[in-house]
Amino acid sequence: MLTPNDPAAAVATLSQVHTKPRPGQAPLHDVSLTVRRGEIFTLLGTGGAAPSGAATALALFAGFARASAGQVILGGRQMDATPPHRRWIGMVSRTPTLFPHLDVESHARFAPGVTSAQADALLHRLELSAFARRKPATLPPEIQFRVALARALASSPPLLLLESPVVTLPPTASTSIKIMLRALVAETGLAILHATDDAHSSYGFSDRVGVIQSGALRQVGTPQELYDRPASLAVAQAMGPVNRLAGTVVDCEDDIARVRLAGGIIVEGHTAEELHAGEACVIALRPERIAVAAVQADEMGFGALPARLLETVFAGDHTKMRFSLDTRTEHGPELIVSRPSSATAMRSNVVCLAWQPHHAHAFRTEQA
Amino acid sequence: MSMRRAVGLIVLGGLGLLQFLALAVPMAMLLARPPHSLDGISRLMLAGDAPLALGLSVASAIVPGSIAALLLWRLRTWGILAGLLLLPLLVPTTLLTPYSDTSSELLLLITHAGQGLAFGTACGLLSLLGVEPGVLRAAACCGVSPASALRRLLLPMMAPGILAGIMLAATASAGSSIVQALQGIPMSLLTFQTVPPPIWLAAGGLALLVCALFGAALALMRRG
Repeated sequence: MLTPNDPAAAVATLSQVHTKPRPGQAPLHDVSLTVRRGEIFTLLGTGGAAPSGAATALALFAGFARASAGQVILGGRQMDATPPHRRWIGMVSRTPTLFPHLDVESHARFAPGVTSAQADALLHRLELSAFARRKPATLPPEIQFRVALARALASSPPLLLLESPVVTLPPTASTSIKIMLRALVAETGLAILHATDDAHSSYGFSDRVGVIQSGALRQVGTPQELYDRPASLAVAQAMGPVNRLAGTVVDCEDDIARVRLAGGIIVEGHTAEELHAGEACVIALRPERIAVAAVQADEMGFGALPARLLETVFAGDHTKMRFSLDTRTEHGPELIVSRPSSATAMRSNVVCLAWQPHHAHAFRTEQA
Repeated sequence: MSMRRAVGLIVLGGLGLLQFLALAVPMAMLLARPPHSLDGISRLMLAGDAPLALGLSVASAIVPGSIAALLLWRLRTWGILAGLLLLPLLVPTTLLTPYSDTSSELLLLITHAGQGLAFGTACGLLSLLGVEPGVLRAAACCGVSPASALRRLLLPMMAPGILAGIMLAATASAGSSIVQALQGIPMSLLTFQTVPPPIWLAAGGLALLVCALFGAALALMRRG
């Protein structure tokens, strides 16, 4: 029996792939990745409005784009010249692109060789049986997305290419679809390559995440690895909110760098590279990793910094607080701190902030 | 440019050229040798050519019209080629009707075929404009070949447009041939005889200008 880590379990592989620029698609630069059997791999695009290359990678597997160099492998076979309809994949694009003249059941039976019994079973599994005779135009976005899934999964492909839907699904709908897909992956060994620019959609869904920016794969790992140990500021930002503190390296010992911020404040941060004294760098720090206490700095312990509360914003399950590290003016370095909304409200404007050095990450500025 | 796109453009270009010739040739022939007698026209209409013209118009709307609409939609080439294919719809009716009632059987058939092609192209294209281009990709990802996707997806989606094209082509053709043949005297002959050739030429030039402006407008639409 194959295990996910077995090399033979590779369902889809890009090997040192380069592509040429195309309108609306970022070219890929030396991208290598493998999606294994029974794995959900998320390609997390970053870089703002510019195309990241995640859609290009999906188009390569689907056969809608060609690699100018490197190999595209599906099921152990090189696929460079194979037309899309002979690749045996399923794909759900950003818009469901349903067929307006076909009802839901016809969508489930659209792929060649799918029997009525198989279609019925799939509709039942995706909770679509009640909509079997309905046309797509009469269905809400969530059901349309499920219909697109049914159509893509009907032929039992080993690989599902999944783009995050353009229409934001209600959180409950999105969660139930993810749970259903995870169960399907566990049962059938289906592999999913998921492209999105929303890191939150990968949490609790993806086994591994690859952050892709400007057509280059920056880092691959589990969502928690990338969240806690980003290899670059771009990865840190892609995985979630992060504070950025610009400064200059004072010294670096082992993997801890001491950095001087504006106003002479010294902070510590973990670094995976060797930083030299005098180099410009950026400290990246997650808002929820910062401890806040309404005490004096010396009471809080080594490394604690006095700060002044500037603003508090209620955000549902958590509260965001904006602090200035300069207690006298409003022009010092600022930090956003996230705390559970249930936490006791701060009664004093002057407080102390502290964090573990391994929760702060120092990156050389040119890399950032 | 891919081979498939090049072939599509050649087919579209060929149909567009035929459409242009279908207007330009009768115009040139009429200017060279105008009809002077009502006898020939009445004989022509009553001899059964009018139903043939109607059939040809409908057939042009169905086959080349649908092909042209599919190619225009697929290749997103809505510039001068679309203008040429839709030329009979852009040219004023007063220019077209005399052509269809001349003493030449060939001119009659050519004009009706061109009109059918234009109606088929316009209606087919309109029915496809609401179709997302991604449907073919979605079908391919399900393992459906392009030929099967054409049969199972595009043709059913185009069906309302094709039917509308047939009805419009048949109505226009019948209106300018069968009805007048039943009356015995083509009303449009009067129009032709009262309009001097220089006016025809100017009107033809204006028709081509309209075609170019239409093509430019479509090209600008594509750029958003």
